[in-house]
Amino acid sequence: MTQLANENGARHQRGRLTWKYFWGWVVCALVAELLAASLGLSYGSSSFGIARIFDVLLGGDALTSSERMILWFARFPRVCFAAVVGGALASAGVVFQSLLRNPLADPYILGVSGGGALCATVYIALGGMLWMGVWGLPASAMAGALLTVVGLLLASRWIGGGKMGVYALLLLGVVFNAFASAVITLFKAIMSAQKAQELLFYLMGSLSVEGTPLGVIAGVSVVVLGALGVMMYYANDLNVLALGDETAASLGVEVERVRLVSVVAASIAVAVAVAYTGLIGFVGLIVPHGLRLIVGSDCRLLIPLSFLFGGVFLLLSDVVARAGFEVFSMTLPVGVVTALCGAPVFVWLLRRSFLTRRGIA
Amino acid sequence: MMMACDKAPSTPAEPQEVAQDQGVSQEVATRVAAPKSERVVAHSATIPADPVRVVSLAPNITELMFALGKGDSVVGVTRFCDEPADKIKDIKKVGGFIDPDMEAILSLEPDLVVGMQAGDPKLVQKLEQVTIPYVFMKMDDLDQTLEGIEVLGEVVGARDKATTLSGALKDALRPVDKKPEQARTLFLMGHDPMVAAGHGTFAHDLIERAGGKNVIDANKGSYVTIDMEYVLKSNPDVILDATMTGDKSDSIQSFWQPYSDLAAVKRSQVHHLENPSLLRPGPRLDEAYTIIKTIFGKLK
Repeated sequence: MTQLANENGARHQRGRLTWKYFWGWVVCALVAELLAASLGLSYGSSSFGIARIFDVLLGGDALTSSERMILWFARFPRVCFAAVVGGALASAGVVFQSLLRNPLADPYILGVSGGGALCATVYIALGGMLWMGVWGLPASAMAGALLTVVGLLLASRWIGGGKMGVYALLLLGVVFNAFASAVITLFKAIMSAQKAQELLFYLMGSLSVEGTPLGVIAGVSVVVLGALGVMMYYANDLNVLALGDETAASLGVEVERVRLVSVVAASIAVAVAVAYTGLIGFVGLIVPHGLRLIVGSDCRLLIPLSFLFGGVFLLLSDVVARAGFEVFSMTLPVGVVTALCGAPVFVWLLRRSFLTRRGIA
Repeated sequence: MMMACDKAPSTPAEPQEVAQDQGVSQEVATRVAAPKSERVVAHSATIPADPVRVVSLAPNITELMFALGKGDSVVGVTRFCDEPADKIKDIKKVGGFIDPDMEAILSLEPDLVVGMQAGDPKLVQKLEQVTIPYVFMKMDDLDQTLEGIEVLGEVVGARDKATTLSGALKDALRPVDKKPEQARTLFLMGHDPMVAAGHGTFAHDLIERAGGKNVIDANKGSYVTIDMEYVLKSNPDVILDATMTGDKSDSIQSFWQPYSDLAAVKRSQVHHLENPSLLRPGPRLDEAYTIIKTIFGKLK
């Protein structure tokens, strides 16, 4: 049903997408992102307000040295990562949902999460191999995620399946994730309590990336933006792919190549992003679907908008997570917040769209 | 305050004190490094000689700070720190020891962060970046704790008190002369999962010093997950059960009631230890020891 709806959406929207409509939405999203980022910068477990922060941004010296350190050391990396990771997850979500023609597909479906978490678990279990220091965990998570995706692509080619290839890929991903989670549970059972807790924090996903060097933030952003560029380049082809492989091929789309390149681009974006933040669920599901309900399912608009609103969503979730500090004396794992806030918002969006007789397209 | 440690971190140096006469013109006299001891697993290049704003990242460190008379300098604790209850309830929480909130720590402007063995390598790196001095310690058994107390005392400028405290604890924890009969003991930390104190735990050390014998095999490791079959097979004479039950203190007895063949149950030697926090590497270990000695003393 959703597949049909997607097709309808694509058909309705394609051709109707004007530059004015496109830029109108993008500018709105950018403004929203800036507002969310300002909120993220001005809110934390120690409160000092937004006015004083703008003063600093304008070169003033309204903050004490420790407040300045809090701003640049603690809050700035969080805000950057929230924007980039949220964007990567949401835009990759659009790609996976279109490509696999499955509304339940999320950025983790092809084992990006399973492989990443598995390697992170092994890394934590092995005592954090000291020679890798602080790079160990993100590096192993990223390597695990990418190796898994490459492995699955090779496996699906080996299995063959022709027209059914996309389903083989989907199944392989689901099976691999189940396998990986069994291995993780095994490790959890046999590792020490402290390591198990460390692992739990990683698996829940958290934005406690304080003190991440600017170079790393910039590097991650460049890779994610590059991947976003690739995804947007193929956006129109992805629209056509939603009509089915044969139709797409008859319209001149190189189905295999588009599928391969966009899967790899989306996976790289997600792997690089989550290497530092652990697994943050739900963003890649609710942001693209929420936006589809509002702007339709034209990937040309949906991918950039998902990137921006994914960032907004994660920024706001992180503010909520940090607000939890007042109550629980701990910053909540942001993955918990995305799921808790995301699910009800999504139900509301769904209802609204039915009420406005648009269906879910 | 943070100016005191403005120097870039370098390799750990000799633990001599750098006095003002060496030309160190800083607000607080800094020591080059933390005391050289195996009890210190990680420390910043410099730490203040007499810290006045200390963030404690472990419940036992918090307790020790107060026991050493340095409670006034504690400005931040973890959400797990619970003792001394009346004194710490107004101290700001900075999160847990695996997930401390850097912003909360920074906003307290501490001149020293003390914690136990950092599980998270990122934490040390983060503290390096913001040049907050830190010391992470390791106290895995009784002897290490006694030594660790003295090291902590040296770090926070309470050497004399620490020597006294450590000496008093050492005295109080002396092994008993007369061993009780039939004191093969099982010490349980919890029921679900059933975790027992194996060798190399504080509970084990205290049991052995009190003349008992831990039923857990030496090769099992420190905190051992066992099952009821293991309990039945090892048939302990005494069960010390430190499972937390909330306010239902009789639920421990009803848990063991069905296993009436167990020697401990038959002889009514199942004891509920209501305060497992006594078993921290802290200043109240002697209280735990007294409880265990009393139980063993009543054995026939």
